[in-house]
Amino acid sequence: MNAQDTHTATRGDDPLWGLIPYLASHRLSLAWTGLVGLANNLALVFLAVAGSYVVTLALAEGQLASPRWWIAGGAAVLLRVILTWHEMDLSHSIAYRVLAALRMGLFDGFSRGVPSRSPGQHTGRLAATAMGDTEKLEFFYAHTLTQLAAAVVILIGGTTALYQIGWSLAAGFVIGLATLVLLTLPWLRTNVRLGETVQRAKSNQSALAVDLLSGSREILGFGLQEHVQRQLAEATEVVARAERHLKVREAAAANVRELCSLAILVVVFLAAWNQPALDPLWVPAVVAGTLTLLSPLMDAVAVLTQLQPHRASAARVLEGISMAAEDLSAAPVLPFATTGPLGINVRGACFSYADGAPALEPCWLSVAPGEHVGISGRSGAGKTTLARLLARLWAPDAGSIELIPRTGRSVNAASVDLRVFRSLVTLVEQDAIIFHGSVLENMRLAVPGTTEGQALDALGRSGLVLDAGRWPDGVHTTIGEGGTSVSGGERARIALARALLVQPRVLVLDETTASLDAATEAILLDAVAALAGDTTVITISHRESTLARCDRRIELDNLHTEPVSQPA
Amino acid sequence: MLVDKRLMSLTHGHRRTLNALTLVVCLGTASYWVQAWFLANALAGLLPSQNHSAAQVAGSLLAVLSCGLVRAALQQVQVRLASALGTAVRLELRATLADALLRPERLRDSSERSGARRLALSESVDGVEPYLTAYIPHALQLQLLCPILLAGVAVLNPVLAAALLAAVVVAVGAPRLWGRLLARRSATHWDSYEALSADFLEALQGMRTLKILDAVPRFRTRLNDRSEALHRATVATMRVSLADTALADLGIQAGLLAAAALTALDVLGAFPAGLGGEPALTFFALILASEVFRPIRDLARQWHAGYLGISALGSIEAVIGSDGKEHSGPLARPEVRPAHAAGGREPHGHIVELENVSFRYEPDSPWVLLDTTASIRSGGISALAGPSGAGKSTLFDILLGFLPFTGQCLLDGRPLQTGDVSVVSQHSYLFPGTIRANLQAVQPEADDGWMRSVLDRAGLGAELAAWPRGLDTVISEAGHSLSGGQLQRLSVARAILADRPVLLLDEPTSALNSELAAELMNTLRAEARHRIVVMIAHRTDALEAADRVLHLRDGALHETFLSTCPEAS
Repeated sequence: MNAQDTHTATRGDDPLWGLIPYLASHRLSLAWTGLVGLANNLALVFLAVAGSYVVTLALAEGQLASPRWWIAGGAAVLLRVILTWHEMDLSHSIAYRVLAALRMGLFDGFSRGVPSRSPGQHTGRLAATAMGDTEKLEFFYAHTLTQLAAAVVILIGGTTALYQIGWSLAAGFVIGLATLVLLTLPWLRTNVRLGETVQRAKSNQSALAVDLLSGSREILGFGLQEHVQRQLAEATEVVARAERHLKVREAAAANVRELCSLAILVVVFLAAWNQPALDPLWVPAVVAGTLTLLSPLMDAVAVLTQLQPHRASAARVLEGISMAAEDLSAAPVLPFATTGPLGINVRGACFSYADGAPALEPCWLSVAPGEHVGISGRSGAGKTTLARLLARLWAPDAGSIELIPRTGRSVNAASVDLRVFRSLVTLVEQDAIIFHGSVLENMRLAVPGTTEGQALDALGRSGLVLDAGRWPDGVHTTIGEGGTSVSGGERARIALARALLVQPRVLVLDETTASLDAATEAILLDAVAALAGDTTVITISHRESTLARCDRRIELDNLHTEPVSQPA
Repeated sequence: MLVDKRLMSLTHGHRRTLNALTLVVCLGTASYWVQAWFLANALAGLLPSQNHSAAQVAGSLLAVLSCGLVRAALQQVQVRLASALGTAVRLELRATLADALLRPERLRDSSERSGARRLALSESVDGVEPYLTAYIPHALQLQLLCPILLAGVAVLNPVLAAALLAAVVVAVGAPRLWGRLLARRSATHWDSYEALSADFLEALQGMRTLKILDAVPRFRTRLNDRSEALHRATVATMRVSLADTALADLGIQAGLLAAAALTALDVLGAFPAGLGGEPALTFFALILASEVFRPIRDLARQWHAGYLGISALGSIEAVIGSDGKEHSGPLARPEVRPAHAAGGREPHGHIVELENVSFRYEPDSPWVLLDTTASIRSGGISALAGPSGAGKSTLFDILLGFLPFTGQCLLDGRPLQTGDVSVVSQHSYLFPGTIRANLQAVQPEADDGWMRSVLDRAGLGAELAAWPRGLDTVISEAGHSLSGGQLQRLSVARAILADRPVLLLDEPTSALNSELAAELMNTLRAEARHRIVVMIAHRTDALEAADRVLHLRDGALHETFLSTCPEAS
């Protein structure tokens, strides 16, 4: 997650424009918003011109303007009420639609790229992108784009109208605006950098918040409250400092723009004054009209400068949306339909993290269909990594993993359709996550439509009986996020029950029995033994009593040499 | 009237900054009034009937420009004041939130959702800032300046002032009619937002499990539904509140048109009190009339800040309570640090005594401990055994002071405090960053030698030597870059390094093979010479290595010495 290079981005790969293809479906609504905004601005210009004209008429000629002016004025007022509401309603509605689209796009990206093999990934940062960065961008796409488009139309229309009155008027107007834009340009680059600083600090702040929440027990136990508070305060100060720089600059830029607009006003004023063709009666009206024309253009230029800081957010969102899959493999999808248990053939699969540390040396392993194999190994040898490769959470850096049916040809696991693969091979992780919700909801996450009876049966087989004292609502008892209200042993058994409901053909258990007492371990292993023959089981454990129940025991360290001849 | 009281209360203690900020905002707006005077004079100079010299007109125009310069200076001051206020409040609010979140009662609360709390700590605190630094000063400005300006216009043209007053009342007053509805809708909106945020973070943290279960598409549907619900709730809220903006616009434009009409009529002598033939004053009145609406327009521009601020308040109040005061938990034991880290290595060792301790989670749930009296001494490892779910981890939380029990826990005769205990929990959390940072967090005085020796004793010596960056090896979030066994040993090392009289370990060897487990048990035995070491254990080898076993079952704690087969009860 590195966004430092974005300031060198050229227009072509500007992240703000890069996200537009994701919003193509809102094209028509956006165009309509633009039209409504334009009409609204024109109504305002008309009101300014009409107001000045009627007053000047009264002052200079002592006449009351014709009723048509008043009726048109009243109509413009009412029109503006409706248009203002409609424009805001529409653009906010689109904004939130855009927001929803960006968030779901991010979820899709994250579901490919999380967990990453790079150790820098932090869910707190990703959550900040999904909840915070997207909020900064929604308005740009829903409102700013149309605002800019409308400004261009006003610029052309306004210049033409002024040219009709006198070329010097139009020239003053255009030169003034050009100065405005030129004066704005020098601010942009630094604003981009400051925007990145703010964005990065907010991202850190979010990561800190997640650490504070996930590590509450440690913080309380070791008395780290002050330490954490200090870190939070530092992050807040970094954000505040960068934001202050940004706002000081934005205010200064706004002042430059305002002075510029006053200068334009003066120029137009003098130009109108010296316009022999123009009836003096109309001079105040022209000045007022020009001023009103100027205001959406100024707003547009202002928005352009305020956009720069959002570029960092856009870069972050774009990066999230286009995250590459961590289980990506080049293998083409092949049909694979077999029955019965599946064997596994690991051929030299190896894996290392993004920082280059090898997590698993190349290894060779052959498991027959229906076999129950136990794998042990020293801590850090790569047992969990092997389990994750078997479950296709990650793709091996080299080598391959094959699925072997009882009859028929074996197939590269990477070329089986992922959703089919997930129904064939499942893994009970060492730190399996239990989600917020009831026990039954957790079961239904794996298999939708699971009945209460099926859930209780699977839990029972895993060695967990939901007695009324501890589980007052049975399968409907709520479990806290991450299993806060259940013990380690209960958590492991809920995770196993969830996996049993999938009825996989290959079941990989990663230290599932580690936190169970001997009696519960025995019940659980009985359930696993009952699968024998129908399901291939690979049990990773260091526990003697668990390994003893396997058909065959393998030491991971002995798998790093290629066997001379493959067993049949 | 315009400002939310709860949000206003956050500026308590920073009122001077807020007042200064409001003053500067008001001065900036007042500069437009001066500008109006010069502009009116310049405009009047244009009229053929007036014989202003070109120098007079140019002078007026220069004055208009210098008003712009003064405003520029004021705005720089305004930005700095706003930043000072915003920074101070954010620092304060975040510290209050963190303090309220770091409470033991949260640890076992199954309704807690990290994603919702993360939102409160990060985006919500930042979301309150624009409300305080932009919305409030502009709302105050509106309340202050509109009456002054109306009075000013009334002097020039009372009829005009009356018409403007009516327009201001419509623009400012009408939206208050549905303020209550808006507040309610805003709360619904916030609930959906929080739920979405909570689900999103949970999905991120559990993505591996979701992938394995092929539940990603199902979870996506759920998130999408939430996102749609949020969209509906938001748009419904906005549709009403955006009518504010439209009404404000109605007030402004109708008011201005009426002002033009009245001025015209006035000039034509329709009113007896008219100012008749002074065009400069007429223009001035007219421009001032439009200035009456500037504060309203300014506030309308802050509409988004106002909306976000009110919304964000929801998640903040969910943490610190709606009365603005944080929960003063019954558990908040006064944190008294022990004078010496390990209790000064008392010559006769330490002793923890439980006296008539009772605890259960709910009035109708079974007792975890019932009137239990027991003592645990240093000098050997005490194993804590018992069936799964009997409350072994709960007993640890009682010793840590995380749970409200009756009776008392004493260390060497004085009440046991959290600072006396270091703990290795079942799923220890290591903070992302270097190993060094993780260790020094609990023991700031630890030097490299001390850290290396403790890591070595915890059985990480070989790994430490193999890692190219040694103590500076970076650990990823929740220690995911380490293996289960490495994570466990690092947690043990951290707990030993904290150097406290009581060391509690929840299954410290569950992810270790027998050799490493034996090595770790030797280390723990050595530690037990000058500390109380209690270890939750299931495995026979771990139980055998213990010097005594405490059995927790049905609310009672039984001690067995030299237990050989603890599971056969």
